[in-house]
Amino acid sequence: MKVEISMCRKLNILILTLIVQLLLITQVYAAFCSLRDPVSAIQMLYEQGSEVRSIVVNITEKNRSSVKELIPFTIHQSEVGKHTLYVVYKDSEHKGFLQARSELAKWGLVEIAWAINIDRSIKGFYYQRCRSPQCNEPITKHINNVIQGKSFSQLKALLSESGETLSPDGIESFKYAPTLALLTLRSALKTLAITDISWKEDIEKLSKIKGY
Amino acid sequence: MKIYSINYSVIGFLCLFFISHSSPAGTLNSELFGENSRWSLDTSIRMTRNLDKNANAYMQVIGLDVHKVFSQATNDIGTLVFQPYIVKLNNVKNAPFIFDDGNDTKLTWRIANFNYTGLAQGKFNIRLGHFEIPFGLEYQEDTNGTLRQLTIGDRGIKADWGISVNGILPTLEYEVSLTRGSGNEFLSTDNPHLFSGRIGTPSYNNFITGISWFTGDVLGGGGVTQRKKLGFDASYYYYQWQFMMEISAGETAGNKTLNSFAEVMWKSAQEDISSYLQIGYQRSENGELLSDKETSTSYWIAGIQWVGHNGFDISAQYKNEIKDTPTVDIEPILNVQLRYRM
Repeated sequence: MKVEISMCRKLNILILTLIVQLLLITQVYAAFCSLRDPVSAIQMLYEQGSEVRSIVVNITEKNRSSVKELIPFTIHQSEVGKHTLYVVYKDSEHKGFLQARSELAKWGLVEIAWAINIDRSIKGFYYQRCRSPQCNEPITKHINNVIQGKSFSQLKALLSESGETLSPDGIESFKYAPTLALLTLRSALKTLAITDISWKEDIEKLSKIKGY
Repeated sequence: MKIYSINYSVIGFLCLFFISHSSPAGTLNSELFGENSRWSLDTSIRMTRNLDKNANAYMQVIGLDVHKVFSQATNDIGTLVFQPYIVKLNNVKNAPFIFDDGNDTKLTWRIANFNYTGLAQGKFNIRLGHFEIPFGLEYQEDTNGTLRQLTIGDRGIKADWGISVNGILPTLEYEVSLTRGSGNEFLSTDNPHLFSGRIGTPSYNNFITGISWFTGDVLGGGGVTQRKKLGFDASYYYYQWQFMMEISAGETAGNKTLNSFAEVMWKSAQEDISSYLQIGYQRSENGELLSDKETSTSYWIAGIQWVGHNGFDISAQYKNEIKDTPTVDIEPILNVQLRYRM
């Protein structure tokens, strides 16, 4: 009887230890059946008939730190793990890239699909999921007009040094919905940075293929 | 007996925990299944307490979740999702018919299919295997392995073996399927079948609507039941709030049925905490005339879920009747679940 009680106590300590340790691990998972192909994003951001080829890589803590060397913020810790970069082709010719990112807004997650040109400037974006009525067509068009065609350094110039606010140029450019514009701009910079860091080898391989 | 069944779960949890921590970093995400693959172990313990009878039941689950994209040089060909789960029941009254009894252990299939996407840039795909029946809200929301369920009870089947065509067009999304009607098991002596489908507005909008149909024979504990349904669903998202409703009408074993369901859900800004309130209403009419033996039942469910950034989630749910009948007894049920994905 005494042995059983002692065993139970040890087991309880083990359970507590387990729970505490589990809470300290930093990975997030949703069931994989909830993953969706970015079919609507391709239809909206690229020519009709465009196709995608997935490249899944493991984004590491090291990659996360590397982003912080380029901009004053980085991707969320929960984003460490497997992510997909979609390489876009039309008639077997490489046209660009597509990547979806989730950003934290005060009303929940905003999922943005980013179309990236081969030279890693922004081709455009659309809100795949945004629960604010502010993510409407006129506002999306306004932000798209400012961001389209801009390179990493040009986008960075629209942010303040701390990365927490818009720069004077940014304030001038984003006259409507500046909070949403700031969130979108930060997402664009993180997307370009993580693409070049985590998919570096794959992009280099692609650049060696004829027709790139 | 109960202590032993809990210990069994804890030992399972500990084994998985030590496996994950004794492996070199990144092993679980290694290319075990080749290029463009993801895999995860998914385990949970669920307690169900009947508050009228003061009886507890337990369910312990461990499964594999594999996702792999097959590609060729300039396009993806298709996606494989493979989710076999071992489910152990303890002290479960009225166990699902696939189990021999309330203390049985069984291999079950959540999702296990290949979706061939290489035909028309996602506009027309062909899916083969075990997949969710395309009907109503349940089809749109991922409720596999969660306490929160939507309208699955109305149809008696959640996922099935078969073939479907599916796709996303600029103004609508669709899936139409022909399936076995037998749920978990592919082989069935009763030879059921099911034809179902849903056509809806794009799921990236904040207001989504869809129409669904469901007709055929569904295998259950008492054999095959003929079911027909036509449904309409709508979802609306507003900041941290989600409003959903579904209404369907049809026949179950020759009896006319009407089902309606509504849910309000709130999520925290980081979406790690969610809470919901559901209300369901079911009306059944035996016979041809509307006045013949009409019965109606209704219930409410309140639930809460916390999802950590560590693959760990805890959820609880309480269900009780609003109105029941002598033949359909809705008992007050409390569920608590602990789940861990690694």
